Amino acid sequence: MKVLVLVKETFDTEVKIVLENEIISEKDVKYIINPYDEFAIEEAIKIKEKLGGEVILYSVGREEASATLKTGLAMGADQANIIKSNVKNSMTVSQLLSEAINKHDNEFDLILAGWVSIDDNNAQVPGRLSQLLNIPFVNVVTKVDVTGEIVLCEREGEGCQEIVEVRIPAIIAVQRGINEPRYPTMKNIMQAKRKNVNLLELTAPIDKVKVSYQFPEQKNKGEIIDGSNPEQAAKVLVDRLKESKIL
Amino acid sequence: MDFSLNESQQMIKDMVRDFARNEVAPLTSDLDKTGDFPWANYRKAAELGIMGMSLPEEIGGVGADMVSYAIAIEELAWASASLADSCMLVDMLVHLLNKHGNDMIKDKYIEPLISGDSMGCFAVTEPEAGSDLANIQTVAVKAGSHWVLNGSKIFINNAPIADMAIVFAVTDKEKGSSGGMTAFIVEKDMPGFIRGKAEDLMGQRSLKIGQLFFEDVKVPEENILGNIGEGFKMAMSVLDSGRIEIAALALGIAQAALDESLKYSKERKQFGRPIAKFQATQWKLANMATEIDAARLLIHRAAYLKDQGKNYSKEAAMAKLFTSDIAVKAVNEAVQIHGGYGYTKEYVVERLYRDAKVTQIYEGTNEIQRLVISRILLKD
Ligand SMILES: Cc1cc2nc3c(=O)[nH]c(=O)nc-3n(C[C@H](O)[C@H](O)[C@H](O)COP(=O)(O)OP(=O)(O)OC[C@H]3O[C@@H](n4cnc5c(N)ncnc54)[C@H](O)[C@@H]3O)c2cc1C
Repeated sequence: MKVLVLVKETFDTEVKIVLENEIISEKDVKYIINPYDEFAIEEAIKIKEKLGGEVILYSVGREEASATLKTGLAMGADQANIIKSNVKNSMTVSQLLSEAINKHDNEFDLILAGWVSIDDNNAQVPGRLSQLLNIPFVNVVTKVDVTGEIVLCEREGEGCQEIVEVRIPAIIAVQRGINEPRYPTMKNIMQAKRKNVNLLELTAPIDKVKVSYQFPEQKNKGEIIDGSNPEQAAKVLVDRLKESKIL
Repeated sequence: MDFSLNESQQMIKDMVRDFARNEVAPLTSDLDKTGDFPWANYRKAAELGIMGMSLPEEIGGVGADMVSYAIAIEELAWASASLADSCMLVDMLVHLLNKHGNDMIKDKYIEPLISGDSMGCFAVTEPEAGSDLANIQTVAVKAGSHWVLNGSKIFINNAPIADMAIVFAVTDKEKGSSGGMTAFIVEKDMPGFIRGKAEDLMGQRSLKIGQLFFEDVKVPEENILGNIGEGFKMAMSVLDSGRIEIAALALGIAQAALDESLKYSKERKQFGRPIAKFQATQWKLANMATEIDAARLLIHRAAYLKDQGKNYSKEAAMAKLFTSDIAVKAVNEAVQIHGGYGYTKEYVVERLYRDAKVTQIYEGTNEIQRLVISRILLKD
């Protein structure tokens, strides 16, 4: 079974983000694999452990992302490809992925991805890519079971559990809860050092979308009204509500 | 000059940090109270290859460089100094077995130690021989194809739970430390070998430190590690590297103390503002951070020299001396920043305060480190 995994490099949200000219400054950023994509890598490795085959990572982004992708290799993926590009919009990213996959790995069985990335929360690439590759797409999946040509995917429905049956090749976007990504072992880390991350240079489709970043407006801090005297507190509360024209 | 970590060093740091923070840290406080050995995480550390990471790949290690190893120890000790200590012991034992052991010894002992299935210990210290290691009294006398051991050891890490021990004994009293000391491998089931109870420690309470007693223990000739008479040299040979490791462990404790202090000083309010707004607190934090960084640089330099195959005895001793001293200072300031709360077991800094102290004592007291450094300085 040949499983491709879409991996986005994103910044660790624990680190403070600084904007310079509406672009995220790279100075203090620590890059990580988008955590949802880590679930996808783990699932792909599990499939490989069960059925054999290989796991290949695909990422659109900076050349330096190779350091980040190596964590995926250290978890047990066999190969990683970076499509070098600074495009940020989901449409162009999907086009690049589709082109690269068609060119290098078009005999894949499954594509796995995180359903969303924690940086821009767009949740678009897997869906768009399924259109471009013309294969079925199952989204927000919490369990994957591959038998032969058939994949059973579980999803949380509204008050129910949905089971979607899909035939390979297909794209499956996974949701938190599907697994616990493993720690890369020391041995695999040392082996990953010896594995190469391939750099794919494609002519980017014309990128018509401009992406810039802004911080959300600062919300005013809440006010805590001293509640030791309820009568007094209620009066202050009503005054405040009137001041802010809610009453 | 390049101060940045390379790719695999960074990956090792990230992995051990995730493991330490997610799996180890949540259990440390309870284990500190009960004094139980951290079996579950010890085995996980073995599976991840944290144990044995400094050992060659051919024998089941990882072959990581010393800088990586120091980084891993720091990250692990951030969450549990005890666990870091227990893992480090494996590397030290296996290093000796691999370097000096005959084929039987290598086949029998190395794999089970690295996999965490067997526990070992390194037994030099005695009641009358602490800093003065050359004064050990445990004797081994040859009797046919065996050697007969008599004596006792104290403060031996893992003694109460050890399956095997590398024991240093006097084989030639005349020669003493220069050629009269030999290392033997003793197994727990050998008649006359008695493992003492675990000491009730001040800190690093998950360590099982205890005495060992030898009453006419018959040890087969093939269980001699290395050459007869080379025991003292062998024991000394692991100390330099061990000092970098203890320094890295102390650094993890110090960094944890700083992290806890930063968090607490932003949350705790007095006089209507977080205590981090007071200059007195800010200066404490600034001093801690500066000393921690200086210590880290000393450690990484010593590790780098080792990786380059250069002499690093002095640098390792400096790293151990400085880091354990600033760690003890850092945990002291951390408790101070926490006020009365830091004096209770509700707060991590209370444990860090106790865990740090021993780093000034074991692997050569800090007085002995100064001796090592000054001897090298004054050598003609
Ligand atoms: C938690 C723990 C784990 C340990 N694990 C092991 C182990 O696994 N294996 C093992 O063999 N040992 C182990 N030890 C023993 C440890 O190495 C010794 O405790 C240490 O070397 C100091 O020896 P001592 O306790 O006898 O102190 P002493 O040597 O009696 O020292 C007492 C004081 O005198 C000072 N002093 C002594 N000589 C001099 C001098 N020449 N100049 C100036 N000052 C001096 C010392 O610095 C110290 O301050 C462990 C100890 C502890 C606490």
